[in-house]
Amino acid sequence: MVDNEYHVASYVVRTRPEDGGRVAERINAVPGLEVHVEQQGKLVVTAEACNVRELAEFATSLGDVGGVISVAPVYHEYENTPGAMSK
Amino acid sequence: MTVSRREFMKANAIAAAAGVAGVSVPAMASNVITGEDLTRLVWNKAPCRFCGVGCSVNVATLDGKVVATHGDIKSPVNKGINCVKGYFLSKIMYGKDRLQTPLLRKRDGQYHKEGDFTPVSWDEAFDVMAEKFKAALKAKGPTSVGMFGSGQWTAMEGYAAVKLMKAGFRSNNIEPNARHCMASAVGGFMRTFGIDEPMGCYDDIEATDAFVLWGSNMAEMHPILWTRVTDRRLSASHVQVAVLSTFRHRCFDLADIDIVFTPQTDLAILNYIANYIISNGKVNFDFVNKHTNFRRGDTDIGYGLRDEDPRQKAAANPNSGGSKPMTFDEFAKFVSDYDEDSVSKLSGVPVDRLRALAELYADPDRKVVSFWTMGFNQHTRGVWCNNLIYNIHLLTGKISTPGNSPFSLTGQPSACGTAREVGTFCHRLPADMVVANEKHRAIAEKIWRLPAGTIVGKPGFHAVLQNRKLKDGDINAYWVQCNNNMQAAANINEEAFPGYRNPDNFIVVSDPYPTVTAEAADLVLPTAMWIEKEGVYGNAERRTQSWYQMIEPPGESRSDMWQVIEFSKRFTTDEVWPKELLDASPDYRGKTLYEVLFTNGHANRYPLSEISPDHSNNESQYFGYYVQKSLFEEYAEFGRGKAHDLAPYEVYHQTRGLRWPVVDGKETLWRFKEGFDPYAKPGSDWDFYGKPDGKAIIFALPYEPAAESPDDEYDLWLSTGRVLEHWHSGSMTRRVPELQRAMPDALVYVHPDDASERGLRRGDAVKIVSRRGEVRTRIETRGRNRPPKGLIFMPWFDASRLVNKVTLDATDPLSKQTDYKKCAVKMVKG
Repeated sequence: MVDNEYHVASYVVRTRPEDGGRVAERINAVPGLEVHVEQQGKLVVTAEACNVRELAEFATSLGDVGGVISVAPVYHEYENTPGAMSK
Repeated sequence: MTVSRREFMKANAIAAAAGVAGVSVPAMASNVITGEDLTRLVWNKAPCRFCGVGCSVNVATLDGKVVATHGDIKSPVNKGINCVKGYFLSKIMYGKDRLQTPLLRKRDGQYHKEGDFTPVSWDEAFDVMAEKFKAALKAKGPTSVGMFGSGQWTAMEGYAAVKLMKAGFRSNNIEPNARHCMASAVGGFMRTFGIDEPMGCYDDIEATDAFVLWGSNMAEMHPILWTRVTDRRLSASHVQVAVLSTFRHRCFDLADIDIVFTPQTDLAILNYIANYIISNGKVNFDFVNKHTNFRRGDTDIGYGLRDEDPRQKAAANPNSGGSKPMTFDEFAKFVSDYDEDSVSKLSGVPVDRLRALAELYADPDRKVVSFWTMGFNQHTRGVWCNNLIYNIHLLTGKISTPGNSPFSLTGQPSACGTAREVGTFCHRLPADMVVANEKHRAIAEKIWRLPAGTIVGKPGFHAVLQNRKLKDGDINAYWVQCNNNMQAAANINEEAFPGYRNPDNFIVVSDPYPTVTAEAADLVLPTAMWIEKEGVYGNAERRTQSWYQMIEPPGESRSDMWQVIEFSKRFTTDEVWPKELLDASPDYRGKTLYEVLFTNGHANRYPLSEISPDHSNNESQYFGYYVQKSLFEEYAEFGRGKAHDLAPYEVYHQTRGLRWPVVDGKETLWRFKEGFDPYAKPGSDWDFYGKPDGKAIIFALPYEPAAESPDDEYDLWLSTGRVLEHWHSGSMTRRVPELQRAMPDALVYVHPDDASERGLRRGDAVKIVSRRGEVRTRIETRGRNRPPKGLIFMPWFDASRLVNKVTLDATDPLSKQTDYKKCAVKMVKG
């Protein structure tokens, strides 16, 4: 049942300005997480998940990435639709 | 769901985050955001339901349900950002065990203290409840009833409750849970400045050169402000951050000066800094001579325990807040005892770090913000701590100007707005007035259209005393709204649970969820929460914010406001007021409290037609007038023209809040400073107008030991506190799956050596045992909190692991706030 959901969340991640690029690479290496913008230590990151458990794990793993000083969640939306995660 | 829908949602998420970060939006997001789908959601603003920061969030509803939230980009507080709790706000209403109907303990079809919870109608619930309140009032008078409310009530809910209790039942036994949270801060403000709440505002963050955190884990408890502090620190290299705590926590990641001190020795460190400033010639005498007085406070004041407690009996001046004038030279001599060597030895802090900290304050070219929360306030000398930090800012004149700010942060969303400004404490009335003052009572009676003498002049029982009085059978009818005090109050086994289950007592708990407190009650009332009603909150920087009702509450849930006003219909003045009062004012005879308090022509003066045409307003539609506006405007009469001015009610719906005093439509960012604060007299430069002579007070107050310290048997300090993921007792956030999964259980954080010396390892089950009780949990030796040897930390959000069975109900004798940060325990395998 939970796999019928599609969750998308976005975060602003803060690093020391000189670390931004490296941290972005590390985040992009985590499946489900994606960096869309990196400017002087400010990163815009999304997480996509098919259930809340997975989303929570993404949020936790984001904070654990080396060089991350703060994670500010900005947006969360979900839909409860059959086949949400299948294209 | 189609791919385009999914891409659209993702684009929205990216655009929102990019807007917040102040970076350019990727093309993909900016192209899609104008899509037609956007119109499906209805967006409204609301202040967050959780902490005292007062972030604004945008809430999207679809078909009567909240489906999305995001930080409000128009909010000057959070500028579009959310913390993880605010981020999952949309889910707090939808826990599976949300209460739907009133539940009364019954046996054989009748109320019975030992019966099982049985669904009943509101009528039956209020019938039984009114009978119990009337019986108590008749048998023992107004002091036999009580109410325990919240800094999470809306301002108007708190105000309605104060009217029902203090005017209707003539009982001052009303308290907010803010007593556990902010009472020492209030005591500090009143004692030093004669007027409550911070002089500065969040704009100080971007204007300052240094931050000092005193017992405040902002990274977890005020994450949005911490983001602003982080931004300031990382964007200006000269900015310094000092973090003081009894254990290392997440704020230490950003610290330039990190200080772990022995519990209770913050008092000595504060006096050392004053001594450093004086002995290094850094006193701002121009400021000190014009704007301050010096006083020596009474010492050895006890620990706010029961009067028969030996520690209380041993005190020379129990509960005394008295003080005598002294000179600057006498003050300098007083603090000279707190030299760097002795304070270093007492506190365990190396001398070089003490010096570095003191120099931040002493350097005349450096602006400083001090932040504090529960480390200072939940302290048996909490008012003293507040007084002593003001000493430092006053000695250097670093106050009430941009970037110079002693800043007491609040815990709850409306601890300031509802608990403090409305005055839902047992000794208070709105706008800093007090029941003990005859003139203040007369003002309240006039605004409330009541006969002279209605309000009783003797303060009621404070929060901790209420639990003691329930146990002793002195309070017999008791109503808890909007908080979970069975879990939150200290010393549950000895001083909380016995009172709730005392056969002489009838306990009512209003809550959206079956909390520990609800389970200990006799009647549970299902309650509408947050955006299921219209309301106002006031945050830590004096910002008043409003919101509209956006969705319907589930089942038969009703707001706290509706409950209070509807309940008032069941009482007449003849039943609850004494004969003398009615003889002197016969017009009030035979009227219901509803008529006297809520429909007297003044308290209901705004018609139903003025409510928002685009929103429901269940209370107003039910009672037939604009309840929230009428009560807000009546309440605002207390503060207008008295340095607590609020704007007209509708202005708050049109803005992201305003910081009081709001004079001529303008908010006040820095109080007491001429040019910023319209109440500061021309030519005064600074005017601490809360005191008759316009001068703030610098207090000489010593270090005194904690109420209970480790010994041979109970060999560890226990500190309790909160975590990022959960709001206080977790009654809402533990029902959000994401948050519950992120922080499922309250672990005890322990130094690895303390674990190994007891034959324990990370993950082991342990018992934490004090003289009062025990709690079982598991050990964490890594993670976000790193205590020093000799101290353990356990959060209190976990209803299945009640750490307050262990804590001590010692309070600050002045503020009556409990010290949750210090008691003695032992830890054994279990």
